[in-house]
This record gives sequence, structure tokens and C-alpha cells, in this order.
Amino acid sequence: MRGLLAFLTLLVALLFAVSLLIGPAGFGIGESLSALFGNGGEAITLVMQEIRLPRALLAVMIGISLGLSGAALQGFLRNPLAEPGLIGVSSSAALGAVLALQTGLAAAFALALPLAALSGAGLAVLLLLLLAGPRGGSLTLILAGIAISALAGALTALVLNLSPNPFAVSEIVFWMMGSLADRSFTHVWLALPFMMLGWALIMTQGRGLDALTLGEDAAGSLGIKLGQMRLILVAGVAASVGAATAVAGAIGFVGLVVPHILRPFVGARPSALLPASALGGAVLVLLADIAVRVAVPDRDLKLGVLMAIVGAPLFLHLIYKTRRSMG
Amino acid sequence: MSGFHIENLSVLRGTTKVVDDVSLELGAGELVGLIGPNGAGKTTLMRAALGLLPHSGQSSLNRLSPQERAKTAAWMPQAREIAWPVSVETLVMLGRVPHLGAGQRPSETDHAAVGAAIKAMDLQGFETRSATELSGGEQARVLIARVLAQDTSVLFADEPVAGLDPGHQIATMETFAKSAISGKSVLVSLHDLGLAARHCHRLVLMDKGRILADGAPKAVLTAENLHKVFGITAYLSETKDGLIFLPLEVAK
Amino acid sequence: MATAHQIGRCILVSVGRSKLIAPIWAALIMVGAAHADAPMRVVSMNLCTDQLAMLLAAPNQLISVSDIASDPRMSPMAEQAADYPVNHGQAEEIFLLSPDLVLAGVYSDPVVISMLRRLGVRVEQIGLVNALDQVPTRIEEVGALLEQEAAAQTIIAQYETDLANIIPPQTGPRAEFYYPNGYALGTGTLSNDILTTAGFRHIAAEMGRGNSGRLALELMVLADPDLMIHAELYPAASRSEEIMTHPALKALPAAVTSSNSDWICGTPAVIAALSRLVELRLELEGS
Repeated sequence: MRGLLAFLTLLVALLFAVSLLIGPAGFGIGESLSALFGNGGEAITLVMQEIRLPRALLAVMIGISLGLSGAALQGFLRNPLAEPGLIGVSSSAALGAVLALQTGLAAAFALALPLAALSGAGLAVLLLLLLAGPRGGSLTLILAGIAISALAGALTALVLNLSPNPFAVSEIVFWMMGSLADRSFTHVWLALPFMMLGWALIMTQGRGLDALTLGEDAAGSLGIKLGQMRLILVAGVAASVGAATAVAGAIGFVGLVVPHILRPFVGARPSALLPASALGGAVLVLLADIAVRVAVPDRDLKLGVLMAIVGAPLFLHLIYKTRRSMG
Repeated sequence: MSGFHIENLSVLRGTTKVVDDVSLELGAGELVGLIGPNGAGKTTLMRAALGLLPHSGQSSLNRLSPQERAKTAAWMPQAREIAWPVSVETLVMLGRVPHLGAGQRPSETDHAAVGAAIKAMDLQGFETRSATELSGGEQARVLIARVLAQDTSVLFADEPVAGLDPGHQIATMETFAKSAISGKSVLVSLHDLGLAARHCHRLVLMDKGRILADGAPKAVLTAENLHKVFGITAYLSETKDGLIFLPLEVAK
Repeated sequence: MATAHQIGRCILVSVGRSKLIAPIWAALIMVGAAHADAPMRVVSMNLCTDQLAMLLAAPNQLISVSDIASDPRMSPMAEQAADYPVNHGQAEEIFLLSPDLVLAGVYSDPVVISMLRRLGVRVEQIGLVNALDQVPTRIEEVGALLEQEAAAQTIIAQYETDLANIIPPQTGPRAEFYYPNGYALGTGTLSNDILTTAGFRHIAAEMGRGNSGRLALELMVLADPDLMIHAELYPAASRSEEIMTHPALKALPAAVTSSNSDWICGTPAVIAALSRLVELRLELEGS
């Protein structure tokens, strides 16, 4: 387990460095690195410090948030199909963010954006737990997720269509598929506090998630306060996914793919899966962000496209594997 | 603290009293069989006593904090859920959760408790195997091992031997008996009246939320009780091989 | 420059600055007297044909302009457009106006145009203006369609005089357009002509970008322009517009200005844009 975490951390560091070196402006490695630390032409330094560095940082932060939230939701719902994108948490966060932007709240008060996204995400998780919580099987979960996603997506499109800004309408793609293009440190500072709060909250629930392996009754008898756990997880997932979506749009499948791949390496223990999925999420998002820039350098290929290409087949595979146990 | 007692315990579902004004006391060293037809309220009684359900009345276990209670009483639910393909050792180690502080890793004591539980349930060699790949009977044993590893003075089990082969059914009941002898209070709900009669020194008969009889098997499994509660006639006899009970016919 | 401005006012609209002088406008109207067989129910459904039609039409000849014509962000003649009934480029609504001539752009909705033609309406599509010297061609074209050739010639003459008064120097400050979504204009555009005539060097020429398209933020920063030209912001927020205020761009020492409705269509209104740019260049070179 320690070996796995060390390996993943190394991978994150490596991909972080690679991400810094990728971009339309072709600098050499030496040039890039010295510009990163402020030595070099003014323009190159600006590119490294204000464009590439925040982008790489955001990829790591968002990857951690999505991986961690996916592992937490799967552990709590005891269902390998649970993840923030699939079950509508990300799209609800996007709705919150869009509302904050289009009503001008975000312009008046900068924190309104992540807070609104957080609220959207929180509402979705609560609704989901209500519909598919304790006794809900996979079928109920996915159906609830479809319903919440559909509603959130439709409302987001409506709000954007009603906007007085002609560009807003075409941005539905960004909100639904996610992108890290042209982000800045403004977005990093806006999202980081909420994300860190979310991560901290989720990480405290490892033991409870382990105990839930035996079911809710047994976990309760082991001294786990289920109601409190539910609240903390809702808050943690809402904060981290909300903040991530507020700055980069809804990115799906990370929380599904990463825990699934890493589960065999941590002996399927939910508590061990939490930190592993956090790092694994960072790896995946960094990889995807590198890939979209290498594959289609001139355009802004949305991250969600790549995630769906990787994640949807896995999702189908998971459905196939668990179809016998589904309602 | 040993044993437990409940006074005037009632549980409502809607307007129906699923458990109706039940008082029960178990001392240390007792293995008690909780018997009764489906819907008698056996599971509900145990869950309420453990504080897992809202109820009225007193339960000695409920006066404790959730952590203390978890160190005092262990619960094996009827639904044998194992959500993830964890190793047997990991699963049994879950029984040590109440004993671990926040962020604390398992210590020598914990490993020893787990080792003893695995040995008691004849699971040596199974430690690294994935719990979800075992047979139904083996899984049941693993879950009982978890309960044993919890090292509590009180033990509740809901239908722990359902679906096990005869050998493992007997072995499990003998394990519970050994636990009782070592000082625990064990309450086990069973459908198999024969097993209950042979291994338990005391039976508690429940029907429609009330306790109808509480005492030695012969005193509880009277023809009248069997007819009234289960609607059957049975053969009950003290033999050189111990108490033998066999349901015979549906009573007319 | 002063003389050009005085006469120029009668045909120019510069947004937010001087207003049209009524008597000279009235004189133009008399110059554009209607001929017997001229189309008398002209509908314009395109922003740029709106401008030209409003400039050239005789009284009561133009019966409708597009809804964009009254948006000051897009239309230099937004105030004048308020006097005309509005159409939204829909076939049914235009047909019900019983027009004898519809003016459209080459990129107007082809479905609407073919529908109108099927219903027997005469639709003329006017091409885009990609260079300053194409402006007189379009004015002539629309003037011929409206049978207001004399008015057209007057406007063209004034335009060419004003243009001749603006003489670009050899080398000037380097500038680039950077619009929402990182959209940068190429050298084959009217805006490029305006920029270079005002004496700037267009960075698109350095990069060999003939066509307009998305320019990566990194490349914009590395180009280190002396002037960046953005678009005016719309109300409410959009991610597309955020790029124009990205910290990396703000950290550049470049001057910033925005293009307005004068730049969009090939009409005499471009002269106002040119004048503003020339003033800006003199400021930049002075400092």
C-alpha cells in the first residue's frame, strides 16, 4: 500500500512536469524550467507562470477531488457504479455555477461562484441519498442519477439560452464536458480552499467506510454514527466536486474509472482506496489534459470527451459484470 | 459489565407494536436461543436492544455511548453482507474497529484477537483469500469470526446458521456455547428448534411481539406452546445423546 | 482634418461622438429623388445592407431593417434604425411586408432566401467587404439596386477624399485583435485594412495568418503586442469573454482598446474607426 502511494505520487510529479512542458509555444525544457522560476524573457515567464502552471495545478486539484469523491461515494453506497459525474452531482454543480454567473452574483462577490456550485452539488447528493440510499440497489442509483443529470442539464441549458450574453449559449459544451484551457491562478485560489475542506472531510471517514463493508446494521453496531457520516460525506463531496466544477465544468468518469482500477491494489479496502484514488485521479486528469493538447493542439478539445471515450466502455463493462445482481 | 437487560421495550412500526412491552435479562455465561415464527419480532427486538432502532423502554446497552456499546455488544445481522472482495483477515479485523482510536493502526492485541477468532472458526489458511470468493458456509464462518474478534461481553446473532451444512451448523453452535462458557452472554435467534433445544440451556419464545415463555427447553417447547405458536406437533425426548427435538406434523 | 470632419459629419456616424446635422441630411434626401421604376418597398435583413440602405434610400423607400440594426454594439446607425420597423430575418414575416426588393448578405440564412425566391420575391445578396477599397464597390452596388446612383456617387466621393487624408507611415506599433474565445483576425479582412491604414503593423502578417481563427493564449502573450484590440463586453458573464482579461494578458505592457460597430461593415463609418486609431497611434508613439 505504501508502495502504491509512493508510485502514484511519483507518477503525479512526472506528469505534472510533462504538463508544464506542453503548449502551442514550443520552448525547450531548459528554457521552460528557468522561465518557470522567473529567469528568462518576460513573455516566456508569463506563459509558464500564468498559463501553464495554473493549468497543471488545476489538473492535479481536480483529479484529487474527483478521484476521492468517487471512492467515497462508492464506499458509502457500496456500489461500484457510483461516481459524481454519472449520478448527476457534477451537472448540478454546473447548474449552480451557471446561475451564479448569469445572475451577476459571481461578479458581485467572487466566492459566490464556488459556493453556488457547492450548493448545487450538495443538493444533488442529498437527493440521491434520499432516492437510492440505504436499500437502493444499482438500478435505483443509476435511474436517480439519470433523472438528476437530465434535470440539471436541461436547466443549465435554459439559463444559458436566456442569457443576454450571446456567447453564453454556446458555452453549454464547456459546462457539460469540462476544460482546463485558458484558466488562471484566479481559478486556482478560488477553488483550492473549498477543495481542501472537502478532501479533509472525506479523509476522516475511512474507518466508517471500511465498517460499511459489513452493511449498515453491522457498521452501526460497530459504533459508526451513520447519520453523521452521511452528512460529512455529503459536505465533503459537495465541496470538492462543487469547486472543481465551478472552475472547469463537469468532468465525468474519473470517479468511476480510478477507484475501479485501483481497488485490486489496495485489497478492496475502502479506507485505503481513498488516498489511492485521490492520487490516481490526479494522474488521470493530468494524462487527459496532456492528451487533449497533444492530439488537437489548435482547438480546445474538451476533457470530458476523452474521459467519456475511456470511461464509457468501462462503465458498460461494469454493468455487464454486475448485471446479475442488479434489480 | 456483563450480561444485559431490557425493560418494557416496545417498538412501533406505524401503529402496530412489533415488539410489545418486552423485558428480558441475560447474565454472564448464558447461551440463550430466541425462537418464534416469522414476524414474531425477534430481529426487531435485538436491533432495538442494540440501539439501532427507535424504541420506548429501557435497554442497558443504550445507556452507553456508541463506542462503548460497540465494545460491549457485538451484532451479527441476518443479511450476510460483504460489499467488497476484501481478504478474510481484513474482514475479521473489522471487528476491532470499536477498539481502535482515530487513525490508529491495529496493534499486537488486535492481531492476537483476530488470530484467535480465525482459529476458533477453523479458518486457518483462509486469511489472504478474498471473502467474496468463499462458499456461503465459509462466509458465514468469517462473519462469525468477525463478531468473535470484537471481543465483547455480549453477543447477538440473527439466524447465524441458516444455510450452513449440518456439520458447520453444529460447530457454530458449539462455538457459541464455548463463548458462553468463557463468560459471554450470547443471544441467538434460530428457526431450527432442534439445534436450539440441543445447544441452548435457555430458550425465549416470542410471538406477535410478546415473550410467551422463557426457561429451559423442555419447559418452553411444550405441546401447547408448539401448537399455539408454530401450529405443529413434535417429538421431544431426553436421550443419552442429549435432548432430541423433531417437528412432526402440522397441527389440525 | 477639420474640413474633412465638417463635411464628413453629414455622412458619418461615429458612435458616442458627433451627431448628424439635420439640414445636410435633408439635402441628401432631396438628392436621392425616387425614379419611377425604382423598388419602393425595400426590406433589408442583414446588418451591413441595413447601413447601406439607410444611407442611400429615398424617403419611404426602405420599409424594414434587421433587429441588429438598433444594437449600438453592432450598428453605427443604431439611432437612425429606430425609425424603421424591424424584421428578424424570417421568411414569413418578410413576405407579409410585400417587398419588391430584399437585401441580404451572402451568409444570410439560405433556407430563408430560397423560400423568399420561391414565393416570387426578388432577393439580392451583397458580398462582404474585406478591404477598404471594396467599400465604394458595395455602395455603388446597393445604389444601383435602389436606383439612387447619384446619392451613391456623392457618398463615394466623400469617402475617397477622407481616406486619402489618412496616410500611413512606414512602420508603426504592432497590434493584434483578440476577441472572445481567443479569436484573432487574419490579414484578409476589412479590420486588417483599417489597422494598417491607420499606421499599425498587424501581427497576423508576422505569423502568416491570412484567415481569422483561434489564436492560442500562449502565442498571443509571446507576440508581445504594443496594442491589443478586444471586443466590448456583453452584459452577464461568459467564459468566452474571460480570456480577454486573463492575468497573462493583463501583465503585458500593451495598450488596450476595443473595436466597435464602426469596424463591422464596409460602410463609410469605417472612417471614424480609422480616425480613432490614428489618434491612438499618435498617442502611443508620443509616449
